[in-house]
Amino acid sequence: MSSDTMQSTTQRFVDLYRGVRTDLFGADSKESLARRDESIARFGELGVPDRHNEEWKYTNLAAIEKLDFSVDRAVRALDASVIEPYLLEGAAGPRLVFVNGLYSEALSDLTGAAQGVMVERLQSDANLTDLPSDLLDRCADLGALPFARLNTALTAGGALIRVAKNASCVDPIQVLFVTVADDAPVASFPRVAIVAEEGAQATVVENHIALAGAATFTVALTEIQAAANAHVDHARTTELSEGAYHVAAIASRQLRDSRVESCVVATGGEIARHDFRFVLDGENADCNIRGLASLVGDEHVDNHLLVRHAKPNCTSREFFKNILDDSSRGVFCGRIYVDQIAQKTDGVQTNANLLLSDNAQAETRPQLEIYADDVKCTHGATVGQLDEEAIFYLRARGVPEDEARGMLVKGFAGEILDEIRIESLRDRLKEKLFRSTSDRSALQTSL
Amino acid sequence: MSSAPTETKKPIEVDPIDAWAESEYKYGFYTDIEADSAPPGLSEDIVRFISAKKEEPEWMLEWRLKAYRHWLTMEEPTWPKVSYPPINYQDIIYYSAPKRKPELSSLDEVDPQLLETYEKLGIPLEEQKMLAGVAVDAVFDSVSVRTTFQDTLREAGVIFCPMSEAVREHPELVKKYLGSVVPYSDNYFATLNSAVFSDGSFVFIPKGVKCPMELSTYFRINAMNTGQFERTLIIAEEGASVSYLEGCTAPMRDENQLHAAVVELVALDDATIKYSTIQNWYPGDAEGVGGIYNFVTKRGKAQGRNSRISWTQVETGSSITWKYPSCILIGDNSVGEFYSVALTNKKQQADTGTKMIHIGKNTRSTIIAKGISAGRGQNTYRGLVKVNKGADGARNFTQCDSMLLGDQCGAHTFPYIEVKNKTAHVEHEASTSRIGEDQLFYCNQRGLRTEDAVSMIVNGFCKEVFRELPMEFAVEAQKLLDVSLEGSVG
Repeated sequence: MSSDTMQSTTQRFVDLYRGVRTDLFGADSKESLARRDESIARFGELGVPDRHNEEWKYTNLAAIEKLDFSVDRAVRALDASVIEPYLLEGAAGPRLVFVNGLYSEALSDLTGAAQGVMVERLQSDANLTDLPSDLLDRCADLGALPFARLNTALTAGGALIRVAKNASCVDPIQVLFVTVADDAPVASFPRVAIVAEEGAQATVVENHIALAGAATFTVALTEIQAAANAHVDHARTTELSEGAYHVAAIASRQLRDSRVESCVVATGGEIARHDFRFVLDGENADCNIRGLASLVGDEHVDNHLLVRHAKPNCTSREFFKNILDDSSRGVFCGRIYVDQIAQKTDGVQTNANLLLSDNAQAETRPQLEIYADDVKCTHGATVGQLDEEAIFYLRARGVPEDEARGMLVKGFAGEILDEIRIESLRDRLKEKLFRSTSDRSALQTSL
Repeated sequence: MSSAPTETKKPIEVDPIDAWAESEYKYGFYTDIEADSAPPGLSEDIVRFISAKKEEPEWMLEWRLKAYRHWLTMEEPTWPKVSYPPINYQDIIYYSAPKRKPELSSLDEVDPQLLETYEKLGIPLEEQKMLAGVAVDAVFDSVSVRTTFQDTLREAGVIFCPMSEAVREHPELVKKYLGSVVPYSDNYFATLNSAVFSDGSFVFIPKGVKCPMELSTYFRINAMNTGQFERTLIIAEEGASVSYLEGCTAPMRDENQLHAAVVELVALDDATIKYSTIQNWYPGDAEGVGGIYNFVTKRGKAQGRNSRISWTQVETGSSITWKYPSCILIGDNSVGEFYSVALTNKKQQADTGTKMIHIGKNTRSTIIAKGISAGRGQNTYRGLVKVNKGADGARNFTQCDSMLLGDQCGAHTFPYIEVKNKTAHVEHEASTSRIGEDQLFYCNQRGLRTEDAVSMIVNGFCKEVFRELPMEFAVEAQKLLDVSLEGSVG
């Protein structure tokens, strides 16, 4: 184990695995067990990183060191009203709901899948080894992400979405992960695999909701595979409450002429960390990743991105924004990696941070690593505050200051949110993100 | 260069970029002078030997020993994006001086071989020094051989002398400022330097004085197996200003040489320090063998209100360049600037950039970094912009552009931006591209040869940096790029 890890915490997760090893799905298959064993061994080698690890320099997981997490053995009953606000309005597509990583039959609805669209839960060894191994092996360096390994070892459930050749799912498929802990800290390891076959089109919404209560720790893994000409539209929200820690890896591998769009919105919680590993592994593939975090209090969001151009003529766009209030902290680390053969690469990466408070912090590391010569890659990063002149302009036209500020913040976030095609999700997120802002303004006015 | 040797003519079909990548180092020659060297290796005894050679006072030796003992506890860093075989620190000769000749009253008494070396390098030591108005403190290996223009400088109250002399003559200043910007425990190579530094320049500009001329030092690495451990300290008191030029070329040789220099700048209220570097050390042969390892710590402290520190560098040499000239902006309204052109060719590696630490209010910094990669060169920009909590109104603009010539090279950008103050405005832009076929075609079509077109485009790419250089250096820098591009097409 390397020196920049939290050894006792690492050991605790290894022990946790030992305790549940034979109860996890697929335990009756030797292969599956071997896979899980191998993953936990690798996790043990990599360890839970501490702040001396360069990739975790700005995100400190020390808080989880003090927490003794357990995993649920049986799915908790949850009132339907709890998830009601998060459901996509009027969507006819199927929906899978998981509580603390376990599939909730009562809350899920698998009907309504379009022809050629297969939506099921990961439950047997067959579908675990069949697909994710294919993905895991070929997705970018997931092996070096300790928590992706931990997820593979400990996952107790997830969604598997497969869209057959040339099929298209018009209605979004929703996968909802709810974490809740009453008095003792709970960990969960949800997983999503999206496979779009040749010419297929998939729309998937993934929500991670942490309800108020004791501490929760979610280690999530999403894998996307887009075959030639496939189009995947993926939206993901991380909506946490106090005491919630969320560490996720989102990996994608794309073949020729495919397009993957991923929009990741984060708010609330203690720490939300997203590791993106996108590989453009076919000519003319195109990926577009957008991220927005709106934070108050001590919230902390860390987006780490690695987009690898492995084949020529690919295009990638990464556009991340953070709105940071109170003593929140936004971290961004993005890297476009261009292989030597990936000529005619076109990559653009942008990170913009809005600091609304004296105690908010932004850390950004936009990086380029380029080994091909005929490329066009740019990145940009900005950190700033609301434009006082713009506020003055609005006030001069009779808009109260709070409202003016709210408008500008909305405009800033709108560039990301407006790209979300699913209307009900977009509206809900706008309301959620801006409600917290206006609440604060109201509070400030009353003081 | 107008007097281009004719033998470099090649058929027109040769790919200009390939040909350029293959062109030989133009300043490779070697001067043989009997050196007064320490045995190879490093121990407390060697540190004492160096200190004794320099006739240093006890406190200086103590400082060196403190650094040496600290160095023993440190590990060589591995995070830079460069690769080189492990350095055996016991194989290096830590001290070597040209034999001291007593009482040089005129240039005639200087070793003619030495003068010849300077002649080849075009150092303005004789008439040129008058014409150019440049005071030259030429460091030949580790001992300053000759210092000129002392009188003019003395009149203005400026102290410009070898570090070893400053330790003896101005101990109170050295004691006060040495290690105040780069402490002896700073990093592996700076600590090594603190223990064994051989010589370097010391500049002190007193209150209110504008240094009457540009100061320049030429560093040369000459004797085999000699690490160069220069230590430069520049202090500008209240309202003072100085422009310091550093330029280097080195003879061709086969063994890698470690160069771990430390440069410290201190600017008090309203002071300005401009530090310019042209670095053209031997880059090694086509396989990268024999080039210089240039592991340098350069840092400036803009301590006073309205102070200003500006770094400009043109890095074309060395097999490995690893340095981050930095500014610590402590004083309110202080300004930090960094302008850099880094060129890697053959198997050269460069990991360079800057750090701007904003501490005072209304501090401003500008970073313009241009990287050019050719052959199998790897060029990395790595930088940090940090705005501390109290740095209200801090402003930073960063632009780092890379140009790629050839499909075997790499260009990388690793900036870090940390902002803890909401009134800060930080902008970062970076781009990577290559010379477009269409650009070359456009030039060709208008009658420009491909070689000239490449040279023109590269020089245009670097213009923003070149115009920050003092005039003499700007000419030299353009020449240097032209020389590098020369021989590409007949």
